[in-house]
Amino acid sequence: MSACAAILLSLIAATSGHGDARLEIELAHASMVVGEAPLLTIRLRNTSAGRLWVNTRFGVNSESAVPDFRDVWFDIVGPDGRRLNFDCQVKGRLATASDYRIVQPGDWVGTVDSLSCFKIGLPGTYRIAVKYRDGNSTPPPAPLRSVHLTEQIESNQVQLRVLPSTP
Amino acid sequence: MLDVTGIPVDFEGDVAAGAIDNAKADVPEIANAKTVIYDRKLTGDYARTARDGTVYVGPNAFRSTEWLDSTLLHESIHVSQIPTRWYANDPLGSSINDVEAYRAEQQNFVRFGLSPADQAEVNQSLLSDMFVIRRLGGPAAVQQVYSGNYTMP
Repeated sequence: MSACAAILLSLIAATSGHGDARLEIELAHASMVVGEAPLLTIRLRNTSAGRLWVNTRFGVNSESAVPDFRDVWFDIVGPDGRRLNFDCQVKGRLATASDYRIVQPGDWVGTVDSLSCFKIGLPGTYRIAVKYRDGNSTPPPAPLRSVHLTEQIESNQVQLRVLPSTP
Repeated sequence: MLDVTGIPVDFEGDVAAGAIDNAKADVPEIANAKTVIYDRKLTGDYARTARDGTVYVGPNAFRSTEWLDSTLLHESIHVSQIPTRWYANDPLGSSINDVEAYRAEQQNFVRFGLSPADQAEVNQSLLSDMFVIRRLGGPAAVQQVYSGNYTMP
């Protein structure tokens, strides 16, 4: 490979981190009864043609939490139109080098959350979306020919129908 | 049913429940929790406490007996905050809540026999929250928290 081609390739790689991943969420069940725990699968997919260097810690926390302890946060709106608060205290885990993985084009990494930090108590339809951003302030350098995913990504929106519990 | 590592899910859950029972004996403070549950999905964090007093413990909290003990103590502090000092939805307040829990861990390093690496992690986590308190509350808030007053300034 010529020097010019190598420089061109590295320039392409360096600029390909933006918009090259997609956050996909999916509920295990579209409806549930009040009191049940919904399971939400979160997948971060590499939609680019190159390799991504991704923090796969998936630390779930409040939007306002210290970024070092948060990669994933939720945006949930209840049937009354109000945004639900993340109502947990978290002993967060600092990300380490072992949390980082190369994600090949088309591949995905992910996690599952039971939304146990949200009070889903009213019957009705809840709108759920998720945001991801690598919160680690000291990430390990991306390996050669891979791009560190640093951008904030928003997921699709899913709807959860909550039914009243039967006496 | 096997998980991706080939470990039967029920076996893992049983082992975790047994370890939690042992840790409860080491950490009587956690008796204030409504219940303590192993949550194998909670991989990004060590543990979380919900406002109803339920404590969820993730797989990474089980890296050693000492770390699990210290984590349960941390969560017991959060449970104790629920009635009057639960600031989960406030950036400054949630850091104050966390500092109280990390300082309790610090004060029990010897009791639980935490390794130097574990101690360093607790110290670093506490420091992250102290930076937030300084940024959002200023030096007065830092001074207040250092003096052991964990209410909102």
